Order: sequence, then structure tokens, then C-alpha cells
Amino acid sequence: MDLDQQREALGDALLRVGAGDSAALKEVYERTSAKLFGVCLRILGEPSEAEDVLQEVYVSVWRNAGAFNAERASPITWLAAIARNRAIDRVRARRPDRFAPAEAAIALADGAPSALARLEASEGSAQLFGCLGELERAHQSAVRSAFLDGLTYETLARQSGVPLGTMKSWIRRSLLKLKACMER
Amino acid sequence: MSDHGPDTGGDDFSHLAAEYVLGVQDAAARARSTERLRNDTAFQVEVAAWEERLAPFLDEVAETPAPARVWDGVARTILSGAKVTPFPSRTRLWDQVGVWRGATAALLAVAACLAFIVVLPARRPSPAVSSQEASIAAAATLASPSGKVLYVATIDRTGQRLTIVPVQVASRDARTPELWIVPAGGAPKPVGLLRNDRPVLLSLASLSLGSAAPTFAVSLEPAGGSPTGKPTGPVVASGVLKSA
Repeated sequence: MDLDQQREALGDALLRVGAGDSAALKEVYERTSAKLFGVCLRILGEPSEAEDVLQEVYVSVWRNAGAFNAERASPITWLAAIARNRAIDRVRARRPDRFAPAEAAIALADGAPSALARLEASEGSAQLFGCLGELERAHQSAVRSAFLDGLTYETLARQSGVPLGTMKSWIRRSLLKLKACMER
Repeated sequence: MSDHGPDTGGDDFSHLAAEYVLGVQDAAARARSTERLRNDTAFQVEVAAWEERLAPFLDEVAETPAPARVWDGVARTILSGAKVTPFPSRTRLWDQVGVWRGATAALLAVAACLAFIVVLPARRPSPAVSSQEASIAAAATLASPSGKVLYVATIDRTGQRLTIVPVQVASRDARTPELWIVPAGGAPKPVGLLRNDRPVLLSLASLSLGSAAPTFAVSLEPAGGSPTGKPTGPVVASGVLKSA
């Protein structure tokens, strides 16, 4: 099955979930749960919490799959957004002095891109990484770490050893440049 | 731009969407973005665009198989809750306020009649009628603590299909109303998500109502419903199911 076919199969399964087909939910789970568990683990750090959130994610997929629109969103992006948002919400609800240990998170990031990861390894991927390469290294890593680790401006600033205002302006400039570059 | 300058992102729509997607906001700012995302279509579009732009970062996340208990938990949750089956949503009929109000009025009338029937001793089912028959065709008005009727619930003669009609909206709260059934002396069980803009049809097939009259309650929950299987938000309306 090539990448387009995989993407299409996942989109089809999501549409069937939207129609109340629980076997299709199992299919979506089997195709995507390892990726989404990786996403949750990286943000939350603690496996038991990541398991809780992952369970919530698929229950939420079951309830909201009707809102998935294959013409507007890629299925894995849609699913990953649910997982990231749930995990980030969970982290933000923690006491403010706790945050995901960055070292553990980085250790988790070293896998080779899997078949599913390559679902999105397309034009968009080359574009993002090409444009990211035009940013200063410290800015690149701030953007990447924000997205993958779900860190706040405050934590990013502390980890990079720069004032909060500096981190905000790094991120702001980086996002503006990325958007402009990716629209070229 | 000064590195120590103030956050200038306040008015910048696209930047706000990007900040939300990136996940850099603190809890308060994030809650504001989540709120905006519920009601602001242009913001939804901008957020989706940023999700797509940044999605290739996900390539860097290693796949990690989740323990089997995660799927078991998902399966348990979705099988214990009733599947929400909204009325045909594309039907223009339901979009017409007059028809919708008419349906509400009709159901209110039915509910009022049912309530009336219940208090007439002559219409009470005789002891010879099986309890199964006695528990069908029932209705509940779900009222706010101040007594405003917010929803009317009716159950059809099969005892399996529950129709919930919104009568009036309690508040502008953007959270999702979720219906719970509270068996006498038992813990609330999720029935399904409600809409404030149209009736929904819910199945009671997987819920045992028991013989005592259960209470229905509506709580406000995050989008997609309570993540815990128990009400997490305020209960805005409740009412006792009355059999005819």
C-alpha cells in the first residue's frame, strides 16, 4: 500500500467511525495509536498519564469523527491535533512547577520515521524543513521543542536561558518567517 | 524589535492561531483560544492551516505501541455509552424556526399530558400490567435549579429511543451539554451529547433503567463530552422520568 493509499484508507475508516462503526474505530486505532501514544508520551513524559490521554483521544474520535472532513484536513493531522491538544491541556492543568522532562522527551524522539510518519512526508514536509533551515539554530529548536514537547513560552525561555520577552519574539519572528517562506 | 519588548501578538489573528497550534500559551491564554475556536470559523480555518504547516514535525515522534489496556478502556467506554444519533441534520425542515418551535410545543404538550396522566389514579397501570409495559412511553421535563424548563425528554413505546428537545438555552456557555441518567441510588451513566439548536435522538438500548424512576441530568462538558465518564461540569438541568 503506498502512502496515498494509506492516507485514503485512514480517511475512509474515519468516515465510517463518524457513521457509528466501532470496527472502523478499531482500525483507526490500530493504524494510528502507536504514533499518537508517542505524541502524548513526548508531551506528558509519564506513561500512565499518556495512556489516560490516549484513551480519551480515541473516545473523543468516536464521538467527533462526524466532524472530520477529508477535503479540509489530512486524517493523521486531524488525529494528531486531537492528541496534542488533549495532552497539552493535561499538562497545563498540572501544577505550574511541573513540566515534561526534556531529556526524556528527546530520548524518545530518535526513532526512524515510520510508515505512518511518512504519510505526511511529502511536499509539506520538505517545505517545512527547508524553511526551518533558514531560521537561526536556536530559533529552530525553540519552535520544534514548542510543538513536540508542548512547552510554554516560560519553560522554553528557562530552558534556553533567555528572558521571556526574548523567547516570545524569537517564536513570533520564526512563525512569521515560516509562514512567508511556506507560502512562497 | 527589542528582544525585551512586550508581546505584540495580541491583535495578530494568524499569530494567535499559530501560538495555539504550537502550544506555547499558558493555561489562561490557551483557554481563551479554545473558547474562540468554538465559535470563530475564520479562527478555525487559520488553526487548521497551522496544523497542516507544522504537521511534518510529527515525523520526528517515535511510534510507541500502547499497552492493550488502552484499547480495552476505549472499547469499554464507547460500548457503555449510547451512540448519539442526531435527527437528520441536513433537513431544511429543522432549520426552520417555526417548525422547530411547533415540534417543541407539541412535545411539551405531550409531556404535560403524560404528567397529567400520571396523577390520575384511574390511568395508572394495574398491578397485573408487567413492569416492562409500565416503564414505557415516559417523559421528563429537565429544569434548571431556578425552575426554568430547559429540555423535554420523551421515551417511545419500545423504551429504547429517547428524544431530547431543547426548549430554551440556559446560558451562552460554549461547553457541550451532556445527558446523564441517574438510576435511583446509582452513579450517573452517560447517555449522549445534546444540542441546544436542535433535538437529538438517543438510544437507551445499552442502559438498564431499572424499575425505580431514574433522574435525568444535563451537565456542561468539554467538547466531545466528559473525558472521565462522570459529570465534570456544572449540572444545569435535571428532572425525574415519569411513566405513563
